[in-house]
Order: sequence, then structure tokens, then C-alpha cells
Amino acid sequence: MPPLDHILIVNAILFAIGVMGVLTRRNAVLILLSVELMLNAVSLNMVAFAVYGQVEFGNITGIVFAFFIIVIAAAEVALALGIVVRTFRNRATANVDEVNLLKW
Amino acid sequence: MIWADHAWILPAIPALAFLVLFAFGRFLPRGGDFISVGAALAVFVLFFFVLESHLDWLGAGLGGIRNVGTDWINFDSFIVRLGFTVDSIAIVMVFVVSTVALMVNLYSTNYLRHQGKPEPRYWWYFAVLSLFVAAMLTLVLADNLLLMFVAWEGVGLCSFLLIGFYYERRSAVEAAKKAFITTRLGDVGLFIGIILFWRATGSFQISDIIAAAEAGRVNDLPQVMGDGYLTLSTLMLFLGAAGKSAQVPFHVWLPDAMEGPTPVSALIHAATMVVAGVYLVARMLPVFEVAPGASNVVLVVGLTTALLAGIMALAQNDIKRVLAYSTVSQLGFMFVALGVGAVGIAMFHLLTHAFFKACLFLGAGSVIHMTGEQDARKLGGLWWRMPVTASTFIISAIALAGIPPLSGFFSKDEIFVATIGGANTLVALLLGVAAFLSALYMARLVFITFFGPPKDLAVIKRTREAPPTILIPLVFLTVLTFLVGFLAFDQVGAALGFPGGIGNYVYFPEPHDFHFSNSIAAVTGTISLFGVLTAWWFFWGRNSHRAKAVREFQPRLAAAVENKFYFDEAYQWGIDRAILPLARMVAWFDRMIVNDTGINAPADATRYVAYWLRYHVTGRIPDYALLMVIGIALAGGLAFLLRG
Repeated sequence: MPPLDHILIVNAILFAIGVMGVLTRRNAVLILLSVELMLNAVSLNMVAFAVYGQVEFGNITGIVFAFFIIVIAAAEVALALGIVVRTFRNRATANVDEVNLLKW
Repeated sequence: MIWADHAWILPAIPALAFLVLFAFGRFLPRGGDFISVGAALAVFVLFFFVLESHLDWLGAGLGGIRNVGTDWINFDSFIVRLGFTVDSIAIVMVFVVSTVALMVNLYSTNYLRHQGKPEPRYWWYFAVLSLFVAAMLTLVLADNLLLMFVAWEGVGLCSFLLIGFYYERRSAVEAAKKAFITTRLGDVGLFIGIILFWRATGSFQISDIIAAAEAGRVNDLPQVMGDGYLTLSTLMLFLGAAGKSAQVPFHVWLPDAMEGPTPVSALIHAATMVVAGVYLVARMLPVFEVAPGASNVVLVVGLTTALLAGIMALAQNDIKRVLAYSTVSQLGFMFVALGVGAVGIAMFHLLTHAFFKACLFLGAGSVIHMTGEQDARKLGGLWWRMPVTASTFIISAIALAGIPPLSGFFSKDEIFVATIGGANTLVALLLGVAAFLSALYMARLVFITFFGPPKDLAVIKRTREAPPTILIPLVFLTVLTFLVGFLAFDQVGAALGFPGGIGNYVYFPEPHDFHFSNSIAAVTGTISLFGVLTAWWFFWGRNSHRAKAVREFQPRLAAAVENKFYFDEAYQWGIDRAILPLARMVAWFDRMIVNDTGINAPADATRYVAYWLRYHVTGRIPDYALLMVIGIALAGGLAFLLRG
């Protein structure tokens, strides 16, 4: 097995890619995709700690957390895609820059 | 089933009736009045079961007091119980409340109709009547001061709602407000008293407070005031009692409360709610006995009230107002009895007074209902038009005047016996004057209402005897007026299953027999007869020129009496000159300092800052996301730097 450090580095890279995606992309669907990437990085972190037993919580905790995150992510995507679809129907665009009515 | 263990059912029944009437009353046939009457009947019947089980314990030597109930609020150190006490004082009160409530309910089904057509808000009247009965029963059964206070305010609310029942009439609205605010002044004192007792004993339970007071443990914690603390707390309770029971100087609300429908005056402002103050003092009397000076305050206030109200009743012309001042005066008698420590006697007078005064009010209501006139000067010669009403009214008036062998004689006579035994001669002498006044004003009222030449032939001509639903309560209450007086005798009490006369049933600190002293009875009986004769001398039909002569002999004194010693004027002056200017100052402070400076200034500052800060809200999602990431990164960095 690779050492834990390596896995954590991979996770960090994955998370950073997700953050960059959220910040730079303009298409709402792609932003959601990037958010999923960040969530998956976190889940992977949980699983890694669980498998390597580096935390004192005991092994099962990390895996439970990972499942929890998966469920939350699914629910969140269902909700967010719904919003995106409504926005697209109303404004004929999925570009987040053009959805900017809520301001001063 | 041991009924006294389930005494909570008594207030629960009318409370349920109130809920039903409140929700559906206006849709029910007859405004749902049968629900209210039925609830009152159920309470009346259940009372006898409760009484029987209470007497069973007494007979079995289990003690006369039973506490039942559950916790209402429980935070370990702060416990309020939803508990009920059944003891002899509560039993007397429940008897009064249930009997008079039933009679008044029955009576109202006719009184609030004209030619068979119910008045507007007929259903609402019965809903509030049921709520009142529920609150009153809770008040008398509560085993702790906080629950009692809740019920105390409940009866006050019902009184307010029913005085203002004809709220199209401005005077009714004003009277309702006056009653509510005046009693509220006393209620604030009562609440302060409850808090003071709680602070000193850590309990709201009446039994705990009495035990603590008797053990000398009611002190303020830093021991600054010593016995003064106990007296202060006790007098605060008495402030509430005096407000509710319309004692001087709070008596001004009760005569005005006559704006309500007459059966309400009979139930609330004669028989039950106004005696709540007497009941409270009777319940807490061991504390009053221990607190230095408290009993004397009760005695003096009661005596002053009995005398002043007796004099004021002499110059009133509205039938109901005479009865109202008479109620105030008789409540003063009860407080005198409490002031000399005679609980049983005070409760006895409360019992007899409740029946004859309710009967008098219902009789006055019958007169008002059938003649449409309540100014006694315009009536007269009514007795042959409404013989049943007149005879019940006269019998109750004789009872109130204190002429043997009716109930009022026995209870008043006992008060005299107790006063001579427990206070000085001056008190007994002044009380004799008050008793003379009661006979005088009652006889005057009877003479000018029912006898003498009719002053208004049109009124007499249209007057008929009242219908049976009005007469039945009158006759029933008159029978009770005849009978309850004999409860003073041990033989009568024993025959009914009580441990003896009322002095052996309701007592503190020890039971006592009714000492029927011939000499005292002769004196009190003579005083009453003399009062009636004096009334005949001055007020009987053709003798009325003598009353006029007295008025002309001392016009200023007569004016003072007619204007009720200018109490209302004095209060109005105080309100105009002191309270309103103070209120204006407070209002100015509130507007200028609290509102404009304290509240608006920070709000304006916030708005000014926000005006400039708002431009960071761009509406662009990526901007928010960037701010979020920066924020999380900063927080994470900070956590990393500060890690242990």
C-alpha cells in the first residue's frame, strides 16, 4: 500500500482542482461538477484515514462519514440541478455571471 | 371513588363548558345556555360527593385537609404545583360558588331575554359565566399561591368582561375599566407578597408558607428587616385582598360594577368574587396572626369599611347601588371577624351573606327586569304587583338587617361575640353602629321600593310578577337564607353529619362552640330592630318629610354622603394632578431619550454604515465563492497557526 501521505497529497490536489473549478467556471453545471470533485476529495480523505487507522475514532467512523457525504452530495445535486434547470427555463442561460439580480 | 381526591373535576367541568361555548356557542340552539346551566348543575351535585368524602375523613380521624394534584412547573429548585386542597374553608367556598352559580345560571336564561328574544351576545354571556365558575373554583381549591393568583386574575378578567357586557353603553365600559384597574392595584401588591414569601421560604405552597411563618422562618435572607419582612409580605397579600373585596380605599369600583347585568352582580359582585379577598385572608390567617400588627390592619380596614360603606348606602337611590354599598359594608364585617382571628365566624358570615345578598340582587334584578326602572325613587308600592319577589326580597333584607331568627342575625351575632372576646369595647361599639346602619339602609330600601304610594303609575301598571325561572332561584335562596343560620348550632351540624356547628367545622387555631349569649343576642337584635324603626321614622311613605328635614338641617354633610365622601373626586384629582403629569414626563422621556436617542440613533448609524458597505454585494456568484474560499483559507490558516 502507498503511504498515507501520498494519498493525502492526491486528495489535496483533487480538492484544489475543485476549488479552482468553482471559482473560474461560468457554467452552473460545471460549477456543480467541481463541487462534487471537492466533496469526493473529502470523502476519499475520510476513507483513507479510516483504512490507515490514523485517527482515534476507530475505523468505522470514517467510512460512515464517507457514506454520509455521498448521500448529502446526491441530495444537494438534485436540489442544485433543479435550481439550474429553473434558471435555464426562465433566463435561457446557465451562465452564473448573468444571474446577478440579487444585489444592492 | 374518593371524590375529594378528584376535586380538580369541579373546576374542569365549567372550564370544558367554556371551551365548548367559546367555540360553538353562537351556533347552538338557545346560545348553548343549557351547557352552562348543566355544568353548574353538575358542579352542584358533585359538591355533595366531595363534601361526603371530606366528612368521611373527618369522621375517620384522617384530618380535615387533603392535597392532591401534580406538578405544573418543575425545575428542581422552583416547583409550582397544579394542586388542589380540600379542607373545610374550601368546602364552604365551593358550596357558596356552586349554589349561587347554579341559581344565577338558571335565572339568567330568563333575565337576558326580552319577550322571549335573547339579547345580543347571549351565548357569550354564558361562556364567560362558565369561565368565571371554573376560575373561581380553581381559586378556592388551589393549594399554592401562584395557581391561586392565576385564578384570581381569571375571575378578575371575567368580572371585567361581564361588567362591560353592555359595551355599547359608555358608562359600562368605564365601569369595567375602573373595576379592572382598581383591583389591579391590589393585585400588584398580592403578587409582590407572593414573591416575597417565595423568596423567604422557597415555596409557593400555602401549607409550607404557614409552617415557615409559624416557625419564625420567614425572614429576608440578609436579615435586614427581621419581623418587618414578615409584616410587609403579609400586608402585601392583604393589599390584594382589600382590592378584590372592595375595602376602603379600593371600594370605589364595586358600586360602579353594577353596570353589568344584575345576575352577574349577584354572582360575582356579591356572593363569590368579592369574597375572594376574605377567603385569601382566612386561608393565610395563621400568617396574619404571627406577623406583628397585620391583624390589626385587617381589623381597622374592615371596621372603617363597614362604617363608611354603611353611611354611603344611606344616600343612594339606585337599588343595585344600595346593595353594592351594603356588600362592601358586610365584607368589612367579615374582615373585622378575621382581624380578631375568628376564621369560622368570618366564613359563616360569608356563607350567610352570599345567600341573602345573592337573593337580594336577584330580587332587585326581578324588579328591574319587570319594571324597566332601577331608581328606587320612581318605584314604590310594588309589593302587591310582585308578591313573590317582594316577599323573598324582604325576607333577605331582614336577614341582612340581622333580625332573629334569620341567618344574618346568627353570623352577625357571632362576629359581635368574637369582637368582644378578641378586641376592645370601642371596636364592638363601632361595629354596633355599622350593624345599626345595615338595618337602617336595608329597611329604607325596602320601604321606598315595595311600600308607600307608587310614584309612577305607568311603571306600576305595566309591572307583573316575574316568570318561574326567575322566581325559583329567589325562593331557593330564600329557603337557604332561612336555614344556613342554624348551622351555628352544634346540634344542627351534628344532625347533618358535621363534627358540630360551623365553629367546630371551620376553625383556627381551635374549634369553638357557638356561645349563644342571651344578653349579646338581645343587644344585637335590639340594635337591628332600632335600625328598622329609625328607617320607618324617616323613610316610610308619609314620614319622608323627616328625611328631607335632616337633609336641610345639615346640607353640607348630606351632600358629602350623597357624593360618597368625594372618594371618586379625590381619585380623579389625584389622577389629573399627579399621575397624568407624571405619565406625560415618562412619555417624554420614552420618546426623546429611549426612542429617539437609544433606539433610533444606533439604527441610523447602522443604516449609514450599511449604505456604504452594501456595494460588496455584486450579485455575481463567483464573487461570493471567491470570498468564501478566502474566508475559509484565512480561518484554516489561523487555526493552523494557533494549533495547540
